[in-house]
Amino acid sequence: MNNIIKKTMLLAAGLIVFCLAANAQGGRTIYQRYSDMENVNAVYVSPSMFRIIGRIPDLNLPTGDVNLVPLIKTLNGLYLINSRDAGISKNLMIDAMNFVRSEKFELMMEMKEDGNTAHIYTQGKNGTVSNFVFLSLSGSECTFISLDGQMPEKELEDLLGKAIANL
Amino acid sequence: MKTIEEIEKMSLEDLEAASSGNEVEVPPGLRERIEDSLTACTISGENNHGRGRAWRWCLGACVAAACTVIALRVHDPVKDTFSDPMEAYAEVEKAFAIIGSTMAKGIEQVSEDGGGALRESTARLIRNCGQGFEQNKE
Repeated sequence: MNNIIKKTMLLAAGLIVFCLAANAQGGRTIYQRYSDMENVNAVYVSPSMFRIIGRIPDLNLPTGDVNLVPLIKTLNGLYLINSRDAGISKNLMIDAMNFVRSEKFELMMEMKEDGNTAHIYTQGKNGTVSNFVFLSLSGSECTFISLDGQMPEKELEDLLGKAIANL
Repeated sequence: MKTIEEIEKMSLEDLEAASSGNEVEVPPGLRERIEDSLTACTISGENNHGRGRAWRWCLGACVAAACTVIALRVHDPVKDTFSDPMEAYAEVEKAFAIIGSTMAKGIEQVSEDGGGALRESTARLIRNCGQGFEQNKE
């Protein structure tokens, strides 16, 4: 009987760790998994770096570029993974889709054209976006961008609109 | 069997004689009943100890699991890709440019198709981004 109780407790503890660990998966986990692989371009900007960027006075921006400084002060992290390797791209897509599904992101935009797909997901409430995920697959090239922070929804959408206009 | 009053009247010598001399009649089955009671006490004592151990074990397992998760969350071995903030800012700009170009294609697609059946979230995003888009054009 004691053995049964012990096994039950061990299983319960394991499930607790698994659930919490699964909850901990995010842009950071995906970045750590893929950043050291060959044929992968990876960029990580930490909260500390964002704070430094936000303190740069009179950031010298080329004319016409979008001023991201106001939004940067609300960011905690940026993870970017890009790969042209078909195998890596496929696994990256699967991991990213599992991540947004498990964290119950809201699908904001989905585009499909000539076999290429792109998805934009957000997570947040009360007019603040806490997570923004961009995922695209074009042929064998996959791009995953994850932004963490406390981004005012209006400000983010304004900046995206300006980024589109500047193309 | 003597009553309490009779026992109180007995002398010390009589009491000594009574305790050493007479054999008390043991009721039949008393030994078995005592053994059964002792066995029952032993078993219930083991169960109580077992339950206590199981709860302590469970608590220890949960604390260990919580410490593991906290350690995983707190420890951040990921390092910045760039040490220069200007380079980091340039990469953030590139990321937004990638997102913007894809969204532009999406908006173009929507315009060509005449809108069609859009998700409410997509329509809201395009409408809100479109405000910034139109303003910048002006």
